[in-house]
Amino acid sequence: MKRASKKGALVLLTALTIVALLLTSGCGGGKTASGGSGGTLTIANVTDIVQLDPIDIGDAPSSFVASQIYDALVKRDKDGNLIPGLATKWTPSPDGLTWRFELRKNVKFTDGEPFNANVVKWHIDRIQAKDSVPRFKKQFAVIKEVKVIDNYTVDFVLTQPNAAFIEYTLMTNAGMIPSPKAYKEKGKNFAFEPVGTGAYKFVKWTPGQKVELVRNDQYWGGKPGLDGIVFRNIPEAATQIVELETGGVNYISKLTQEDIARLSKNPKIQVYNVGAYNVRYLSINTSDPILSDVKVREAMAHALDFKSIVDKMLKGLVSPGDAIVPNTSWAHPAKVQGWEYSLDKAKALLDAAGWKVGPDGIRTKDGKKLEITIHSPNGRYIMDKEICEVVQQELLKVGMKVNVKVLEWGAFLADVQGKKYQMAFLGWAQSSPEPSLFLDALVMTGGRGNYTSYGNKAVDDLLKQAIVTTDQAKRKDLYGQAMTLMDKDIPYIYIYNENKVVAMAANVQGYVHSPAMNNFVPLWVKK
Amino acid sequence: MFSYAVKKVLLAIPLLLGVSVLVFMMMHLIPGDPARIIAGPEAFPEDVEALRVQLGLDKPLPVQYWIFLSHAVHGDFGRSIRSTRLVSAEIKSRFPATVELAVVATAVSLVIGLISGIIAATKQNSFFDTASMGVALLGISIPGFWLGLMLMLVFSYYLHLLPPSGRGGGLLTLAGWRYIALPALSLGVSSAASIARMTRSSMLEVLRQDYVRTARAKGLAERVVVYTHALKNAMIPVVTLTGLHLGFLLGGAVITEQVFAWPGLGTLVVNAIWSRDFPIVQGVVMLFATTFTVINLLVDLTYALFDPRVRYE
Repeated sequence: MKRASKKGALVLLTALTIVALLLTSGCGGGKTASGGSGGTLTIANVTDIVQLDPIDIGDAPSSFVASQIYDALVKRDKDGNLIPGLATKWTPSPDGLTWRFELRKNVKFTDGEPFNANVVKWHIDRIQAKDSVPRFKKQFAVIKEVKVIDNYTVDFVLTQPNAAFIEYTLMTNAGMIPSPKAYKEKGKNFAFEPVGTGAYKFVKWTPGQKVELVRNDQYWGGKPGLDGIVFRNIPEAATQIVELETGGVNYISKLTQEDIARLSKNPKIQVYNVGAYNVRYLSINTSDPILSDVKVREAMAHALDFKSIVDKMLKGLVSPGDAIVPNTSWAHPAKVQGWEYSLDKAKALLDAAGWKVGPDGIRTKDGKKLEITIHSPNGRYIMDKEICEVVQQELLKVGMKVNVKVLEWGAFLADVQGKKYQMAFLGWAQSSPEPSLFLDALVMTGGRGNYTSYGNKAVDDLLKQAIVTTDQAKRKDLYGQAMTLMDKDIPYIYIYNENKVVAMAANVQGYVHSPAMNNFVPLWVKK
Repeated sequence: MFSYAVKKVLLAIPLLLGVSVLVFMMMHLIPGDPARIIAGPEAFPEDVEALRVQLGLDKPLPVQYWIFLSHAVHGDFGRSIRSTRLVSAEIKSRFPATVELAVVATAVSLVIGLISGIIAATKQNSFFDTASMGVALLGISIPGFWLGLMLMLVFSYYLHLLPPSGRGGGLLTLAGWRYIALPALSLGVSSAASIARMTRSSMLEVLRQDYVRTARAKGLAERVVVYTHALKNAMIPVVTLTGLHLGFLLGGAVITEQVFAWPGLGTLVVNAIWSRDFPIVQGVVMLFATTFTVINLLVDLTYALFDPRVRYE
C-alpha cells in the first residue's frame, strides 16, 4: 500500500509539474492574435520553403508562398483560363511571332518602385542572362527578345510561333515579377527578403518553422480580406490534423482517405476536393525485349482493372486515369481509349504472342519465362508501392511473373531516366491544364519525360502542328488524334489522377477551390 | 589532466578527417543524380546539365573533395545547393532549437531516471522496484513517434493544455516551455528508462561493496550512505550513458522533430539527404561528429569528479 502510493506520488509530481507549466502560461498557443476584422490564414506546409527568388523556385511550398507575394503578367482563373494580371490585354500578331502586352498602370511594388515596361524587360533579361540560374532558361528560350514600346506596352518576340508560349514562360514560377530596386539593393539576400506587387507582403521567415506575410493595403486588385497569412512547416500528416482540429492552423493539405472521411463529419471543418493537373501511370520501356511486343502491353492493359483497384483503395483522393492529359485539362478527349477489363482477352493476346503457360503457371517462350520487374517509388505518389503489389498479383492471374523493386526516389529516378527498367510507376505534374506540357514531354519522340523509348512520327507531326495552331478547338482536335494514335501503341497504362484535397476551418470564408494556384485575396476569417 | 585533454583533442583530428572522407564518399556513391533531383523530374535536360556545371558536380570526385576540405578547415561548408544560403547560416538557424530540446530532454530523463533508479535499487525486489523497472522496459520498447502522438492526443487534442507542435520563443519565455514540454517529454522518457535501469544495477553493485558496509558499520544514516557514499561511485556508467544520449540528441532527434514540427537539425539533414544537398549534409554531419567528440571528452573528464581514484596521465 505504502509503496504503491510512493509510485503514485512520483506520477502525481510529474503531472503537477506539467499542469503548473500550463497554468502559469495563460493562452498563447499556435494562433496568431489578430487585431483587425480579417483574421489570419495559417497554412500547414509539409516542407519548409527553400528560397523566394522566382527564377529559381522549383519546389511547391516556395511556389505557394511566392504566388502570394508576387504577380505575373497573366493569372489563371478557377477553371484554368488565362486572365489579366499585371497585363490587362495581350494579342498575338497574325504570324504568331510577336505578342503585344498592355500593362496595368499605377501598380507599385511594396517598396514603392513603380511597375512598368522596363521592369518586364529587366525581369526577362535576367532569366535569359548568361550567368543566371539555369532552372527555367530552356523554357524561356522561346522568347527571342522583349521590346519596350512605351512605358506600358511591351512586345514579346518569339523565335518561332508557339500557341502555348504564355504557359511555357509567364505561367511558370519564373513568370512572377520581383521589384528590380529591391533585387539590386539586396543582392543574394533578395531570395530571403522578397518584394513584389502581390496581395501580401513578406514579413519574416523563421527557417524550419514559418513564413509570415501581411496584407498589402495598396494592392492593385483591391484590399485583400485577410490581415495576414502564416505558412507553418509541419511535416507529419497526423500532426497537421491535430493542429487543424485544435485551431493551431486553419488550412491543411496532407490527408489520407480515413482523414477525409472523419473530417467531413466535423461541423467545424470544411473539406474541399477537386481534380488537379497531374497524371500517374505505368511507364513501359518499349525497347525491352519482352515489352517491345505490343501484344504483351495490350494484354497487361486488359488484365489491369485500375478503375476498380483505385476505387477500392483510394476513393476520394484520386480519380481513375484514362488519358495522358489529366481530366481537368480542356484537351481531355471526350472519348478515351479505355481497355476493357478481360482476363480472357489478356490470355488470348499472350497466347497469340507465343507465350505458352508452363507447368508452374508462368508463361514461357523459347525457354524464357514471362517475368518482368516493375520499379516503384516509396510514397512519392499515393500508395504507389501498394498499387505495384496489386499489379503483381493481377498479372500473375494471366501467367506473368512480376517482381516489384521499391527504391528511394533518387535511385529510382536514376534507373528510370537511364532506361534501366522495364516498367515503372511514374507521374507527371504541371501547374497548368495546357496539353502540350503533358504530350510534348511524355509522348513526343525523345520528350523530356518520355522514358518509354516510344516514338511515332505520325504522333510527333500532329503535336508539332498543334503547338503552332492558335485556335483552341482545332488544337483540341489535333491532340485528340495524337492521343488516339498513341494509345494504340500502349507506351503507358493509366492509373489515376491525384486530386487536390484541402481541409480548412469552417469559419474561413470566401475560399474557392480550384486545381489552379490558390487566390487568397477574397478570404477572411469569421470570428 | 591538461595534457590528457590536449592528447584527446589531437586524436580527434584524424577522426574528423576520416568522417569527412566517409561523408563525402557516401553522398557521392549512393545512386541518384543530384542535379536531376534538384531540378525535378519535369525539368528540361539542358537546364539539368547547366545546373550540374553550376554546382561543380561535373568535376572529378577527388577535385570536389579537395575543394570541400580546403574550405571546411576554415569553417566554410559552402552554400546549400537548393537554397543557396550559407551552410553555416542554415545550421545556425537550426542549432539552438536542437540544443534546447536535447538539454531539456536530457534533464527530464535524468530526473525521472535517477530518482526511480535509486529508489528501485535501495528497495530492491519491492513493489516499486518491479513496477518501475517494468515501466522502464516499456519506455525502452515504445517507439518514440507513437509516444509523441499519444502525448499530443492527450495534452493537446483532448485536454487542450499544450500546443501540439512548433517552437515558442526559446526557454526564456513561458511559451517556449509550453512548446518544448511534449517533445522533451517524449524524448526524455525513453532515455529515462535506460538511465533508470543503469542507475539501479550500478547502485546495487556499489551497495554491496565493502566501503559501504564500513560506512553503515560506523553508524552513518542510511540516507548519507546512499546519497553521499554510494551514489557518487555508481554514477560513472550513468554519466557515460547520459553523455551518449546527449550526443545522439544533439545530432537531432529526427522522428520527434518531424512529429512535433520542431525546427532542429534532424529535419534539416534528412531533407538534405533526400534532395542530395551535399553541402548541408556534410556540414551537419561534421558538426555531429565534432559535438560527439567533445561530449565524449567531457564525459571522460567528469569521471575524476565522481571517482577520486581516476587519474589522467
